[in-house]
Amino acid sequence: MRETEANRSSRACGTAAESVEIPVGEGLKGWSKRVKRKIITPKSIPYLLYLPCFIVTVGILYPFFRSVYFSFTDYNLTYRTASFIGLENYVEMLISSDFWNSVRVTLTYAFSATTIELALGFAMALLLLKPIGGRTIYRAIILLPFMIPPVIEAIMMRLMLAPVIGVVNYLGSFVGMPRLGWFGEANTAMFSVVLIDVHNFTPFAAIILLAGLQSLPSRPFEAARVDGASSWFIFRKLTLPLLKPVIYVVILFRLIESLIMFDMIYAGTKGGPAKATMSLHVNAYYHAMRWTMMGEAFVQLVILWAVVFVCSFIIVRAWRRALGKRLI
Amino acid sequence: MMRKRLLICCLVIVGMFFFTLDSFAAEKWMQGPEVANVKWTVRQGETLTIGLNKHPFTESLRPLIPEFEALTGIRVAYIILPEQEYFEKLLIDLSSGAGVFDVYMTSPMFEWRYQYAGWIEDLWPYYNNPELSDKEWYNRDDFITTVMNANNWDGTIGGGMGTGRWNAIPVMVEYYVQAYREDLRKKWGLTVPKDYNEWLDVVTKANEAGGKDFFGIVERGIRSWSTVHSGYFTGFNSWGQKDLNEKLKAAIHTKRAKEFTKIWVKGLQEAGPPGWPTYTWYDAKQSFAAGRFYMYNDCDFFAASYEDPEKSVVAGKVGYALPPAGPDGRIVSNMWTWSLAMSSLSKHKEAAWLFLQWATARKTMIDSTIKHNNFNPTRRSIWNDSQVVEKVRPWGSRPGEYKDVVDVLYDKYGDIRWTPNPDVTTVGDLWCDALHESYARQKSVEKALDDSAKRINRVMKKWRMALGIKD
Repeated sequence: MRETEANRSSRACGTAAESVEIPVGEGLKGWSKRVKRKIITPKSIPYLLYLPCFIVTVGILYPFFRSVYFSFTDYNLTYRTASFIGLENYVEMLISSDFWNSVRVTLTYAFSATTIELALGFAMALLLLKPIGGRTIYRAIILLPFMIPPVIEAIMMRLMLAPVIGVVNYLGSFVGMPRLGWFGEANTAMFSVVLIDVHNFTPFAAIILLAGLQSLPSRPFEAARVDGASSWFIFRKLTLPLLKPVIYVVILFRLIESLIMFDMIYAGTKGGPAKATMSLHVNAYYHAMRWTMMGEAFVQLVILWAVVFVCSFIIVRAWRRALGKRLI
Repeated sequence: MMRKRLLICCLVIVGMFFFTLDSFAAEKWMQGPEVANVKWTVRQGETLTIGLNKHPFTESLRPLIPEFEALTGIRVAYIILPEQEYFEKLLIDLSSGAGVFDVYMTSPMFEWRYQYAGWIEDLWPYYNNPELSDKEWYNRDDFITTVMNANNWDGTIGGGMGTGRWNAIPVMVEYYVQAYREDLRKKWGLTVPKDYNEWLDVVTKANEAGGKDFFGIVERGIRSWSTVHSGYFTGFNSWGQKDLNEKLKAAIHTKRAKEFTKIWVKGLQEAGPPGWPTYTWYDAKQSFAAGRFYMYNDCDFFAASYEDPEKSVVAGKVGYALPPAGPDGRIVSNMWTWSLAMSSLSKHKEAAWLFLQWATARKTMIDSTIKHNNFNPTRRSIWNDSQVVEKVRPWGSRPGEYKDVVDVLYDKYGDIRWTPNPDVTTVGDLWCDALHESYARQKSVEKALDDSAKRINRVMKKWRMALGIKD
């Protein structure tokens, strides 16, 4: 009986071995050549080249449109419901004072952080442009805060700015500074989170602007100096207009990043106190990850996306215009 | 005569036999897991992942885990995160269906949500399985009734606690007391507050007497239900107030609720540290232990840290008292209990039950309390154990003060004061906004509570509709 089974299996192996001997390799090669010839035609090449980009776009757009869809539902993780409720979430949100507070906080945070970073970054870039000794070392040092992850930066600053045990209040007391609540008081919390954003991201603005300044053509500046133009005149009439495209790039990056800022605010204040730093993103996080109200959370994120889109659109248009003028 | 003697002898022998048997039975539940009639090795080779919050209980459990691994052959991996991050990570794990955690730390307020979402396993079937459990050895009745009941819920919105599903097993319990600096109280001639007006008076005076770097009061303050839960809710409820009324509408803005909240907020404004809303319970505990505050109305078990000279500069200087009474003389305390639960998504449910049974058995829990400071224990026999009594005896302004205070809280004043419903933490978060807004003087206490009540009512609307409750 065993022998018979062994024979059978050996025959089976033999059959399999025989089938392997068929010149599959060559067959496959021929088949793939035929397929290639049929698929890769002059007409199809543009579409095929576009395909990876299309896949990536779908990969991005699918979750986006899914989120937009969920914003029209009562999607709740706890009750696992996702019934379509039309504009109810949007209406509830638009009549809620909390929502408008979040819009105000988001815009205040983004515009103040971007403005300060741009101004300080510009000043730093101009300083770093001067031919001073150890310039390369300064440039490396100035980048250090940018290398700190935002969450770490926020936690570090929270410890330093702690009202009772923080080092800032302690050192401030020697110069008569009143004890401040920093992250813990509604009137100083926004200033505190903007401060950590500025500390973290000003180097980014400075480095981009420095690169922009270094790339400016030297001839117009030499001509202006020969004509006896003052430094202020040169700055106003030459440096700024020529640097405009770079400035717009800095504004674009920093504004988008600040509008969607989550980690620094959440790690610093958790949106408090008294909702003084409750940005749209943080508010959406509370709705989604603490209260499981995904529908309401997606409304806020969709609106945030719209704000970011409009701002980006305006800045990119201005950037194109500035670039066009510079080329002329 | 002979027969009579023989009969007496027989009776004595039989009596002794039953006595020995009885004492043997009584001692079985006090012994280690090796005497339990449980097949501990039935799930040998499996690996459990446990989600733990950064908490003294976690620190007390970790050193004991190798004993479980040796007993069962089950490997235990654990993830420890700070409280807020822990709950968020857990929510992601459960709601996404990932099921990373087989066992996790939780509490009744979260169990109510998880039960509705189907993320928490009912423990009764495992407990009733004779292959997996030894009821006599486990002795479920040893748990303090209110604490164990808090982990049972039948799903009734607004009630039903103590019946129905068994969601989790309590591993520590906390009540809220007045912890104050007894040395400074004597020095400054202050009293131990008996009601909240006196409380305000005392903390304000202590704040004035303490000077520039010392404050009269600290409370937890971050934007979270937990800020409401401890000292504030304890006082709020002693004034006869509830979070929700029987129609499931917010009741945080009644006249009395506003009166009490005014006192509480005034205390924080006038005697608290700047930046109160940044204080977590952990920050406040550390700062109190560092000698920066006169009073902290929070967890009783923080005494274990305050009284440890290695961690605290106030060891031996702290007094513990029951919470102040409400206007009608009513004393209550809210309650929080950390519990261990089994995830419904676990792929190792029997192994998870073996772990739960082992971790909450008397032997493990007494080791965690005596050797590793897990306070307060949830088993009555452990709380009354002579070694535990001896350990806590020095805590307080007089010997045995801490034990006396907690005894009354266990038996009389301590219980969960929240209205059971799955959205309870959302209610707490929104309520906390009112405290922050009035503390920041953005709104009056009245307006802030009214506004929060409206928001809470919006959240609870679905339940009123589902249950057919008319406004």
